[in-house]
This record gives sequence, structure tokens and C-alpha cells, in this order.
Amino acid sequence: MIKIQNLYKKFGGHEVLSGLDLEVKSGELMVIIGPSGCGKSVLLKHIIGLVSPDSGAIFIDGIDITNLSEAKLKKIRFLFGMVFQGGALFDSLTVEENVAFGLRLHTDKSEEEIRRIVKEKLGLVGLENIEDRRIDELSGGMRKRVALARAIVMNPRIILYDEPTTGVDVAMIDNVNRLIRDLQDRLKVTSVVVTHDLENAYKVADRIAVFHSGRIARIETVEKMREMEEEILQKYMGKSAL
Amino acid sequence: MKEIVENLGRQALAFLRHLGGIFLLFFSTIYWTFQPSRLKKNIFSQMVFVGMDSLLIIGVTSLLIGMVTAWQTGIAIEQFGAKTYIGGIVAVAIAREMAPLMVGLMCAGRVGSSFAAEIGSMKVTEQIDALKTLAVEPVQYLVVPRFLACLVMMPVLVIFANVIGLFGGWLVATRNLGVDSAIYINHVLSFTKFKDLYAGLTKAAVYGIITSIFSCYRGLEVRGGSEDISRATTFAVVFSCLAILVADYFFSVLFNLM
Ligand SMILES: Nc1ncnc2c1ncn2[C@@H]1O[C@H](COP(=O)(O)OP(=O)(O)OP(=O)(O)O)[C@@H](O)[C@H]1O
Ligand SMILES: [Mg+2]
Repeated sequence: MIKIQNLYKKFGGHEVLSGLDLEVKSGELMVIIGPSGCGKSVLLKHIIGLVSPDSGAIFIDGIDITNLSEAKLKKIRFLFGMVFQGGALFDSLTVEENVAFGLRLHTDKSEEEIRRIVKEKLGLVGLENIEDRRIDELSGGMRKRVALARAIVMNPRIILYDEPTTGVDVAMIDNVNRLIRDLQDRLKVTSVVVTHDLENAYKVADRIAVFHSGRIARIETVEKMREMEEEILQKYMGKSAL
Repeated sequence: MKEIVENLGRQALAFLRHLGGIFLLFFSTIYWTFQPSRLKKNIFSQMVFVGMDSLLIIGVTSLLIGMVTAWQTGIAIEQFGAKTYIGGIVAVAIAREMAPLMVGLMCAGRVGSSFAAEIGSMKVTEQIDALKTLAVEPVQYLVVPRFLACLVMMPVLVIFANVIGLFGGWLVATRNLGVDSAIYINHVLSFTKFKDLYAGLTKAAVYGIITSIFSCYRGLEVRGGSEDISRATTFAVVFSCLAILVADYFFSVLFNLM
């Protein structure tokens, strides 16, 4: 379970989070929508302890991670998988080495088994026979999907997705959405998906949170959200953003 | 006037902050060096990069430096009829001073700039953050292998530079200055002491520490976009070279006392 209380964060003079509260229940898939530049990525980085807030608390399974030592944070990070907005793949390694990264460093699995798992996870994101390619040979959308495979390879209990479908080609978007939803339904993971695309939000979300001026302005179920779409878009998103 | 003082103050503060950061990274690197790790492969590839890939450039420079040293000293001592001693003088100059300094400066340029750029671009593209989310300590994964590679391979390069430098000296001594080959070799062997060799190797190891820590530090400190990567590369090279020269001065003082 993720519980965020009264989070504040300033960069220079610019306040990005101003008293943000959010609770994501265990096994729930929360989508956070908001216009570009509002601070969605910053929020995700807070949840996984990459950025520490100026004030406020973030509880992961009841433990406040905002003032943990690096060593304790490292333990907590085993709970997490994260898909970065830009993929953040290791560009000196091959696709296979990227996806297998956690397995090689943190488990005692045999090379054979690692190869098998990597193949399986790449299969889940619709990629085949690209294990030995270098990262710079991949398209943006392929990178995103490799990043997704890397994030889920250790079977994390909490997955954070930063714009998982942006840049992915149309044919593959549904595939990615289905995967996100599938992990949710089959493995009961807790997920937070950040996006500025309401259509994709509908496809995966249990609930949708609207990020507005440094806080979560409202949280609605998908059905409720569809009903009030007009109003919410106008009020919070500056409709042109979508 | 006030502006100048303010500016100086700000630069002094930045300098102190960097100095603190560099020491912190140094101690953290030492700590992580002794932690168990499955990253042996990285150390090997960095060693190849620092050592093997530098052979050509170090070979060419040390050949030239050996030749120049032989010419210069040869002409100077010929007046005293001491030309036959040239082997000894070239050997001591190269082993103690020239080879380590040249390897230090060359590696600061070639290796330091590449460390800073590589790590800096990983910072910009969030690969450092990705390492953390995969529960890997960036210092252990990125800095330790580079640190060890420089620490080990720069002394190895100095040994190589010694050999090539002496060969360059031999070429000039025998071909141009008319010194007998056997006498050259004889003086090389009788003049140089183990102390000279050690001095050179110790220097190279310290220059290796300086180069790796300075450039990795600045790479990790990259903020914002790609323009900061180019600033980082410049910083890495300039300040590594500067620190190497300062260290070289202190070594001279130290070895004179010993
Ligand atoms: N490390 C940082 N230092 C300074 N400012 C930052 C930093 N990270 C983010 N910001 C600022 O915080 C704000 C929010 O950034 P963030 O990347 O979270 O936006 P976003 O909602 O993810 O946007 P997008 O949809 O374009 O990805 C931006 O104004 C950005 O400039
Ligand atoms: Mg973002």
C-alpha cells in the first residue's frame, strides 16, 4: 500500500508539489493524469525514493521512506519496478543484459534460466529475437517496451509506470495496456500509471487521480470519470493539453 | 568591487563544495571496493579501456620523450665529456618523472574525459536513477571498476612507457650521439635503483586515483542537459591535470626528503 501525506517539493523557487495527498490501495491500479510539466514524474520519483521531499511523508507498507538511509531504501526498492519516461535503459548493454540486470545481480538463477525468463518477459511486451541488439538500434517505442520488461523481471509487488504508452506505436499500445492490466489482475500488484492520455487511462485504471497545481485535485472511478470528462478536462487539464 | 568580491566568494564556496564531494566519493569508493560484488566483468572491460587502448598513444609519446631527453641531456653533458653517462640520466629522468607524469596527463585527457562524459550522459538519461531503482549502488557499479582500472593500469602503463622511453633514448644515443650500445645499457642498469622505479609507480597509482575520482565525481554531478556534459568533460580533464601537477610537486619534495 502507498500512502502519501502532505508532500511538498520545490525546485529553486518553483513549487512542484504543494501539499499532495494520495492513497493507493494494495492491488489497486491508480492512474494519475495531468498536463505536461505539472510534476507527475517528480511524484513517481518521490514514491520510489529517488527524490526526497521538502516535507511530508510517503508510507510504503506502513514504512515512511522519506528519511530512510540509502541502505534501507535499497531493501525497499526490491518491492518496486519502475518504467522511466525515457526508458532509462543502459545504453552500454544489450537488450538481454538490460532485462536480465536485476536477475544477474540479485538472484542465483542459472544463465539458462535467466535467458528463458528474459525471453518470456520480452514476449509479454511483444518483442522477439532482439536479445542481442544494442539499445541505440531500437526505436523509441521498442525501448519503452524493453524498459517495461526490465521493470517486471524481478516480479515486483509495486510497479510505477511513467507514460508507458507514449511513443509506442498504435498497434502495440493495446498490447502494453493489456499487459499492465494483466499484471494487475493475475499477480495482484499495486500500480501507479502516470499519463496525460485519458483514453489509455480508461483502459487500465481502477481509479483515476487528477493532478492539478501541485496536488491531487480529485480521484474518481473510471465510470464516474467518463461521465464528468468534459467538466474535468476543462477545469483541470486546460482541454487543449489532451 | 563588491561584485568581484562576491564572485570570488562564490567561486571559493563552489571549490570547497567540490573538494568535499570529491573526498566523499573517494571514501565511498574505498568502502564499496571492499563490498562483495558480482561486477568483476566491469573491472576487466575498464582495464582494457584504460590500459590496452592507451598503449599506442603512450607508446608514441614515450618514444618521443625518450628521444628528446637523450638529445637534450646528451648535448648538455657532452661539454663535460660525460656523454657516456647518458643512459643513466635518461633512465632516471624517465622512470622517476617523465613516464608517470606523461601517463598521468595522457590518461587524464583520454580516460578522464570519457569517464565524465559517459557517467554524465547516464545521469542525464536517468540511467543512474534506474540503477538505484534496481537496488544497485551507482558508486559500486560505475566508480569502483573505473577506480580500480586506473589504480592498476596506470602503473602498468608507466612500466611500458619506461621501456619504450629507454628505447627512444637508446636510438638517439647510439645513432646520433655515437654512444656505444653496451655502455648505454650498462649505465641504464647501474644508475637506476629500485627506488626510482617505485617512485614512478607510486606516482602513477596516485594519478590514477586522482583521474578516476575527479572525473567520475564530475560525471555524477551533471545537472540538467547535455551542455553540462561538455562542462563536465572539461572540468574532469582540467582539474585532473591540475591536481596531478600539484601532486607531482609534493612528490618531488617528499622523495627529496627520503
Ligand atoms: N531535478 C530537477 N531539478 C529542477 N527542476 C526539476 C527537476 N525535476 C523536475 N523539475 C521541474 O519540475 C516540474 C515538473 O516536472 P515533471 O518532469 O515531473 O513533469 P511531468 O508532469 O512529468 O511532465 P511531462 O508530462 O512532460 O513528463 C517541471 O517544471 C520541471 O522543470
Ligand atoms: Mg514526466
